Amino acid sequence: MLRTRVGYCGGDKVKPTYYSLGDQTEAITIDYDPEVLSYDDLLDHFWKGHRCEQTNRSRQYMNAVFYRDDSQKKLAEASLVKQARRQGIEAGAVKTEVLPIKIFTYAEGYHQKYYLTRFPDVREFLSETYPDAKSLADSAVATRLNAYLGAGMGRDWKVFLAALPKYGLPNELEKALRELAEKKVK
Amino acid sequence: MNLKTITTLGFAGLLAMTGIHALASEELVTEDGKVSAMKLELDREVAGRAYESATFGMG
Repeated sequence: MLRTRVGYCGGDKVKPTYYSLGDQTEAITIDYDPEVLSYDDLLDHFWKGHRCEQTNRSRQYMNAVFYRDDSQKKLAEASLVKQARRQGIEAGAVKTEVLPIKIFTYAEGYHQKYYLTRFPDVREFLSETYPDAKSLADSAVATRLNAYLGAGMGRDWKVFLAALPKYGLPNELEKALRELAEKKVK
Repeated sequence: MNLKTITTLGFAGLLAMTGIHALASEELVTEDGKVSAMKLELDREVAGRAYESATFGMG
């Protein structure tokens, strides 16, 4: 996984915002290296991460696969059928949608890398380095720090420590992050 | 205060609020296939790698 970004897609409303979404849905986009990870791998994670037989709460908060081309559409539809079989239900009982992405609009900056709001020094540095939502969202460094520090996903901190010098962070920040990670390793 | 003053102040207040709202609202952009983050070493390295994208609504 290289980068993530949150935003709005799937609808027709032009220039959606958080307070004026229209028919758009909140979504996450993952940029990945296809030589390391496949679209099918991501679909598997997606289906395991939610209950697809539950009715969607709203258009804004909807379980959906947003495909970008015919190839993704076919794989997404096949994965829906596979998931239904896995759960012992009819494919028609699956409420998760498979829809065209249309246009993906980046969400506001304060929605990007949200977990980093708990780490003000890191957030401040990244927001100064990348003041607009797109560049902040496009940052692999911000993506990794958000995942390691905020998401609590039991990451391998040894891998984090090994890669940290390559991030290109200021010395003080790198030192603070190293100390934090070393405590996690112990 | 007479009616003219009240109207003028009210109008000025509305203009100020509109201006503040315009300043506060962020211009959102759409995907353009380009990676914007290039200031940090790792970002430059990752930006050069081939990638594909997957998008999900997560309820």
